[in-house]
Amino acid sequence: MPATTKTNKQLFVNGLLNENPIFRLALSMCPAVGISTTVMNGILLGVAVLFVQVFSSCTISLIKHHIHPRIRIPTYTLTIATWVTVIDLVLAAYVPAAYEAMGIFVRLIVAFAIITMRLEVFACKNDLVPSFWDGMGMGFGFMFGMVVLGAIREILGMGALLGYDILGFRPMLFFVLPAAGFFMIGFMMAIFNYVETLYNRGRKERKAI
Amino acid sequence: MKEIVKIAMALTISCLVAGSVMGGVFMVTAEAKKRNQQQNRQETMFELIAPELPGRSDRAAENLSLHSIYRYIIQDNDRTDLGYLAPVEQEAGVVYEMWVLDLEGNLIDRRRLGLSPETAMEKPDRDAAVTAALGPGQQARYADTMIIAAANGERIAYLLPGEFSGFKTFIHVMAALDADFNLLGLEIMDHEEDPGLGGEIEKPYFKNQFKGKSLEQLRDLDVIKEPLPDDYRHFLEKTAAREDLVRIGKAYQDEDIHAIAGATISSRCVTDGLKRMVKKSVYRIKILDRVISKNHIPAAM
Amino acid sequence: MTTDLYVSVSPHVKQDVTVEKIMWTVVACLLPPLVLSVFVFGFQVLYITLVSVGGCVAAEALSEKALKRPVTVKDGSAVITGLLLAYVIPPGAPVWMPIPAAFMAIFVSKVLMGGLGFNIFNPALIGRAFLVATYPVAMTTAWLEPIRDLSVFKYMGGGVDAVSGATPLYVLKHYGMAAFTERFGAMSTVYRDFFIGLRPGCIGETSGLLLLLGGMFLIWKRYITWHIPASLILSVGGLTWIFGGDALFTGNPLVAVLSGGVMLGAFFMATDYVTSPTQKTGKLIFGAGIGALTVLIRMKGGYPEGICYAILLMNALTPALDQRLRPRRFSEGATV
Repeated sequence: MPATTKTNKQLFVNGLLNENPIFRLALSMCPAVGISTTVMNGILLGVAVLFVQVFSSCTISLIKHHIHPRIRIPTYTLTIATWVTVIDLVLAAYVPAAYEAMGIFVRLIVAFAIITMRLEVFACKNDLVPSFWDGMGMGFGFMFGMVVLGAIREILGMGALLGYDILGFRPMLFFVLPAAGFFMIGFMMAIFNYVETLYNRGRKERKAI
Repeated sequence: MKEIVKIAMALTISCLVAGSVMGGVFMVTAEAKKRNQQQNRQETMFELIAPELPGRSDRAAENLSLHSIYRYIIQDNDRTDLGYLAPVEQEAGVVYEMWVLDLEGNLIDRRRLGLSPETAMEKPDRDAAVTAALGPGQQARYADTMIIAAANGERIAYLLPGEFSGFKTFIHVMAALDADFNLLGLEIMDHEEDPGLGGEIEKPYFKNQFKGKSLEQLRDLDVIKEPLPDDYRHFLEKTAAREDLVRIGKAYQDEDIHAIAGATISSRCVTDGLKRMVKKSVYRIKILDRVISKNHIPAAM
Repeated sequence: MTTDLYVSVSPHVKQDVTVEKIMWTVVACLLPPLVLSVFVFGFQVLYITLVSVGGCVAAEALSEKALKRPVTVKDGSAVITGLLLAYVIPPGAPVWMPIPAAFMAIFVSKVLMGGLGFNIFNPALIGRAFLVATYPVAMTTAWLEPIRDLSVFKYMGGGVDAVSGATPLYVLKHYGMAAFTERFGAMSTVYRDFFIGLRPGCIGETSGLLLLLGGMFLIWKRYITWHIPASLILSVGGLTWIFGGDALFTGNPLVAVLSGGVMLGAFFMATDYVTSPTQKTGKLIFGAGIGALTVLIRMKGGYPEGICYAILLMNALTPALDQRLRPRRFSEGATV
C-alpha cells in the first residue's frame, strides 16, 4: 500500500466507522468480549487503547526508515510493550485514581491485535501526521465499539448504566457473561452491515435523481 | 551471514533502547508507585476499622498506627517452631525482632533482625533477614500476616488478611476485629465464584451480616437457608431509615448467616473459613500477648 | 405440501412419512410425562409449558416474518422445542421465564442458522443453557417437592402443598449417599419413586417410565433408532458404576440413570434428527460421548447435572462424526 491520499478527517472517520476495529475488522475480540460488560470498563479500556495506539503509531512512523524489514513485528511488539509499560508506571505513580481503575486494562494491551495491525498496515508506510490521525480514528473506533457493547450489556445484564441502577433489577444476567459478548458483537455487525446497505442504496437513488 | 548479523544488531539495539526507556521511567516513578500502593492498602484497612470516621485518611494518619506481625514456620529436621516477626521499641526507634516460639507457645529465643517497619513490608528483604537470623539446618517459610491497629498507644483493632477455599477456587478476604475480638467487618478482596450465585458473597447484604458478631457468637455461627427478611436487607445495604437502624440492628444481633439463594455452599465456605481464620488468629494473639507480658518485651503494638 | 422439486437436508426418507407426521407423533409421545407432572407438581407446570410452547411458536412466526422467509410453524418443530424447553425448567420457576429462552432457542439458534435442518445445536437445550446462565437462582433452586401420596389424584393437581426440595443429584453431589438415603428413603423406595416420577426435578424429566414408553413407541414406529438412547444410557450407567462410588465399581447405575435428565435427554433430545449423526457407528459414538461427558460433569463439574451441556458439546461434533463415518460409496477408491 502506498502512502495514503486520504485527508486527516477521512482517516479519523475511517477508523471510527468504515474500518471499526471491533465491528468491521473483528480484531481484539478477546478483550472486547471479556471487558465490555459495563460502559465504564469500555471507556477505560478504550482510553488505554487510544493512548497506546496513538503513541505507538507516531513512534513507528518516525523510525520507519530505520526498521529492518525482517524484524518488523518484533520491533512493533517492543514499541507497544515499551509504551504500555511507560503508561502503566506513570499512571501508577502520578494518577493513582486512574491507575486503580485502568491498571489491569493497560497491561492487557500488549497483546492487542489491532495495534500491531495498524502499525504494520499504516504507520510504517505513512508520515507522522496521517499516522497520528489513523491512530486516533482506530482508538476512538475501538472505544466507540466498547461503549456501545458495554451499554447494551450493562443495561440488559445488570439493569444499570454507568454504574447507576436504572431498572432496579437485573433483567438477564446472561449478558454479563463472556458468551453474550459474542452474541452482541454478532448482532452489532449485522446492524452495521444493514445500515450500510440502506445508506448505499440511498446514495445510489440520490445519484440516479 | 552478514544479513543475520545485521538483524541481530538491529534487534539488540531496539531492545536496549526499549529497555533503557522502561528502566528510566521505572526509576523515576518507583518511589511514588510504592507510596500509592501502601496508601491504597491502608485506605482499605481504615475503611474496615472505622468507616464512619470523617476525613479518614488525614485523621487516621495522625492517630492510627498499623503494626504488621509476620508469621514464619521454622523447620529444623523433625522439629517445627514458629517465628513471629514483631516490632519492638528501641532507643533508635521501632525495629523488628523474631520471636521463636515452640508449638506450645513458649518463647525459645529472641533474634535481632535489624529490619525497620518499612523494609519489613518488602517480602524479599524480610525473607532474607529471617534466613540470615536462622541457625544452621533451619528453614523458614512465610505463613501469614496479621495487622494490629493502634490509636494513641492503645490497640483498637486487628486486621486479618486471609484466604480459604470457596466453591470454585480460593476466596481472599480481610477481616477486622476490635480489641475485644468482636467482628468489625469483612471485606472480600478476590474470588472466582459464579456470577449471580456465589459471586454475591461480595455484596453488602451478605458480607455485612458478619458485622458486629462477637467471638462467642462466631463460634457457633450457622448458615441458614431462610430468605433474608426485608428490613434486615435494608439494614445491611444501608438503605434503611436512620431512625430504624438501632432497632433493626438489635433485632437481628443474634441472627445466623442467611445463605445466598442458590449458593449455600459458597455462603458456608465463607462462614466456616472466617470462623477458622478468626479462631486461629485470636489464639495466636493471646499467645503473643502472654509472651510479651511474661518476658517483659517492650513490644511496639 | 408444495409440489415443486426441492433440495432437502438429510435424512432422505422415501416413505409415506412427512416432517409434520413425525413431529406431531413426537409431540404425542411427549404429552404423558406432562400430564403426570401436572398431578405431581401442580397446575403451575401446565402454565409454564403453555407459555413455553406459545413463546416458541410466536418466536418462529415473528422471526420468519421479519426475515421475509416462509413461515414454518405448521411443521410442529417449534411446538416440540417449546415442550422440550418447558420440560427442562424447574416446576417452581416463574411462568414468564420460558419467553426469553424461546427467543434464544428459536430465533438465535435456529432461524438465524438457516431454519430447521441447519441448526447445529438442539434449540431447546440452547434455551436451557441460556436460562441457567441468565437466571441461575431460579434454575437451580425452584424445585418443588412431589406429592408422594397417591391420594393427590383426587385433587387433580389442586391444593398442592409445595415445598422447595433439592434434586437427588444435588443431594448426592454435595451431601453424599447418607444424606441421600435419609432424604429419599431406602433404595427400593427410591427406585420405585424415581421410575414413576415422584422426585424433585425439572418438569418433564422425572418420570423414567413414561419417557421410556414414549421413546419405545418412537423406536417401534422407526422414527428414531435405538443406537443413541442405548449407548447413552449404558455409558451413563456403566461409567457411574465404575467411577461414581467411593471405590471403583461401587457406584449406583440405576440412580444415575433415573435421576437428572438422562431419560428425557436420551430419547427425545439426543435423538433430534438435525443435530445427531446419521450413521449407526456415529450414533453409538455420539450417545457414548454424551454419557461420558454427563458423568464427567456430574462428578467433577460445578453443576449437579450435566446432560444439557453434554448433548450440546456432542452436537458440535456431529458434523465431524458424519463426515468421518460416511458410508463408502460403491467402488470408491477403486482404481479404474
